[in-house]
Amino acid sequence: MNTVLELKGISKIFAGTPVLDNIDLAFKSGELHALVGENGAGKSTLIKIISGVYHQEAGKVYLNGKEVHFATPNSAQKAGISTLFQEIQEIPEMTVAENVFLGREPRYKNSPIVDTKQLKSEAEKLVKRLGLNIDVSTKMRELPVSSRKMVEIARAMNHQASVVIMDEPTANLNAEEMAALFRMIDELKKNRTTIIYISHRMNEVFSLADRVTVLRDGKLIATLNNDQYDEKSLIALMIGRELTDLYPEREHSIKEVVLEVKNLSLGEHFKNVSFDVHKGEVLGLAGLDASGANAVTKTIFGLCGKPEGKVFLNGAELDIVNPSTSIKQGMAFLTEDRKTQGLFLNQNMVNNFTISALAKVFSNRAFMKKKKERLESNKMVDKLQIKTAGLHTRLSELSGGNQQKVMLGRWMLDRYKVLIMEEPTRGVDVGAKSEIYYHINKLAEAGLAVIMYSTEMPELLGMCDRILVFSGGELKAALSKEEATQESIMQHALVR
Amino acid sequence: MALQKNTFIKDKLILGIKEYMNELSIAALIVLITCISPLLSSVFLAGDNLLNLLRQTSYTAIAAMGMYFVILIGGIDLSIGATIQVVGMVSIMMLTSGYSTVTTIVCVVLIGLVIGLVNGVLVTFGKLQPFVVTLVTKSIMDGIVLVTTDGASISGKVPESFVKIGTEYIGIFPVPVVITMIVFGITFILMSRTTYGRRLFVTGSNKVASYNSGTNVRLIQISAYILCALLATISGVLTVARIGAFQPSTTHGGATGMELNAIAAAVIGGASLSGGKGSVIGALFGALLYGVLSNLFPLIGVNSYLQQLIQGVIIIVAVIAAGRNSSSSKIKLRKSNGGSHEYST
Repeated sequence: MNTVLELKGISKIFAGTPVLDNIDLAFKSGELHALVGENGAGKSTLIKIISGVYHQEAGKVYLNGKEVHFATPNSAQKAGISTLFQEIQEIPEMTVAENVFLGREPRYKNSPIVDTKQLKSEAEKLVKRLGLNIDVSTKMRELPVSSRKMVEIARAMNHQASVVIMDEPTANLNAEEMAALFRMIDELKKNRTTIIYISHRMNEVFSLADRVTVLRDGKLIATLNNDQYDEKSLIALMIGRELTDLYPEREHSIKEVVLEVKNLSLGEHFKNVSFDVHKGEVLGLAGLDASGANAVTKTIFGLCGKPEGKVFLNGAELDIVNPSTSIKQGMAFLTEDRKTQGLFLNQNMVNNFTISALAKVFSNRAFMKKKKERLESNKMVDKLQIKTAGLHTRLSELSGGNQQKVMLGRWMLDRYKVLIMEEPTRGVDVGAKSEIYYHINKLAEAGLAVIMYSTEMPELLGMCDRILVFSGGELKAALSKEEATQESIMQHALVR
Repeated sequence: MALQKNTFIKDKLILGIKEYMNELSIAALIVLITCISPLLSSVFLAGDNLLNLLRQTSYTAIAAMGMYFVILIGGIDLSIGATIQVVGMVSIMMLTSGYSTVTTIVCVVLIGLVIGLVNGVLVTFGKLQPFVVTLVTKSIMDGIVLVTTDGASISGKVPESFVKIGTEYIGIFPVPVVITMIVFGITFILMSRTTYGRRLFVTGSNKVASYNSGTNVRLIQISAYILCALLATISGVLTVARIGAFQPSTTHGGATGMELNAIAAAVIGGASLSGGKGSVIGALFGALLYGVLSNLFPLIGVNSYLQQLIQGVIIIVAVIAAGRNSSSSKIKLRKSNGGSHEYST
């Protein structure tokens, strides 16, 4: 196999800290090359250098043997390097077809006028070839998130690129779409396209990758063929130590009922849902898209207005109005989308930590206790082992895992009764994941009732005392730790 | 990296410098201009002129601090110039028909509150763009003033106690300057020491996240518009009290166009129209820089047309500079990347 893309001695420094240190790496034609490593290992920085978003301090990039400098992502794209970014980059008011051909629309002869007919038919062809069930003339904003992601993938494929970079492509996809993505990947590989693949999901790396490169702290640790590693050795290389157990043991001491949900219904989202959560328990909520599981967590926290039915907190009826009233009554909520719904990215760590406990813990009447704020924030940085240059650091400057820890820390600064979590480790690397699980366990041991909605099955199985499975807006099964397996969950989760 | 206790003070210092970088650079610029001013004009540093400068600045400064609250939460208020007009008109009408100074001030303050409430409610519950809402309320209020006065000025017997507000001194300082300092003190404490200030700040940064962490976002948003209108009212009272008569629209001492001066001052001071940035000190310094230039230019013989042009250039330079030193390299790159975000690696 010949080399398509080669990196020689790439180094990158941010604010005095080296984030990439002398990286030599060659990508071969037609291979799927996975980049793995913890958050902050330098994976994203590396692909941003390849795709022209960042520029290296030292080192050279060669494409087909020629040295290249990409001033912008656009010039990288023109040279045949197509990047599928983690966040969806679409124009919501345009149709699927227009989005797929964005920037390279078919024209009438050499005129600047777009040939809309050809645009539509080409897009239809592409969508069909990829096995997607999407009408190309719908507007992007009308599609669900997962379909939008698929259109994004189609767009990246449509560039006839020699190198396709995929950063966490499966993050928001359901099982069906994942299968479609993997078909696309096969097709790309058949056409001798090189794929650079970043994922935190180990099973994907194992089933897809021809070769794996491990990065740690900005250094290239190893590049291995797919017969040279197993899960354990790969994780050990990533974190630089043996990870004894991803899901740490918890002292099980499940006590009295804290939260009692009785015949809860919310419009078309879910009907007649009843369950209890005990003190010290971690209760899992599982379900496919639109199963209602995710709507239940949001509803209990007061994000969906007043539902039918009742919820009791320590025997007293919970007044569900909005997040503010829920927090006052002792409910805590870790949102699934930390960047748009959880964090204040342009603000420092203190502002991000203390906001929910502002009224109760960090103020006297209306006045702030600033010293206490800083002290407690510093303690939280220590406790959660957050990697940061200091409390003044803006959240946008932290890696995903550290951002997630700040979100968790926000709910550890006051005493709550129930902690609701959505996707507690989405986009978080193995090392930070294990630490977050450890703290969830500690919170449960300290007497919190934890409700955890997740689409990551191993996480639910590893962490939860019981798992409730939702399907079609109904609670289908409550599985104990012993009963719960991937198969038993799927069996109840599939709509019949 | 775990933080050690001994880095605590250092951290606090960095926190302070990083937060007020923009304000510090504007203060430095003002000091620099003041230092080189004797080379340009012998009059500028004279005591009388400096006090006059401060008085002129105070009207804009108060309005700019009000504007800061609205810009902070990602809004804008184009109606403050018109508010100042309405306040001026009502004040003179009431005073000349025999109402006392106190009654008049209570009345216009209530009017100010209502204007702010209307703006805030329309933006929040009407789900309308602040630009559109306040453009409309501005237009309506300008209309009310013109219809009522028929475009003519209003004058007559105004109680001396009212005129004193605009002309009297406390110690060596004109009353408007003292009131500006009081307003600054209160708003500064509000923003830096109270939970309300913190909630305003984070709401400007991310409304959804603020709501999810227990903020009453609607109330916060409406309150910002009320504060803005209230400070515009104070600015209006001080302006009209100086003259003791009311003249509508363009010929009047700078009420029309005040919204743009206030926005410019807040933005020079580091506020961003996308919200969640800037400070009260910044707005104050922004107004002061604006005032210093408006005062200095005529003294060194720059004509008023050229003055407009130069001020425009200064604003754009200040805004670009602010964007440079307050955004980290990462955020800048994010912008240049057409809105893609940094990934979690």
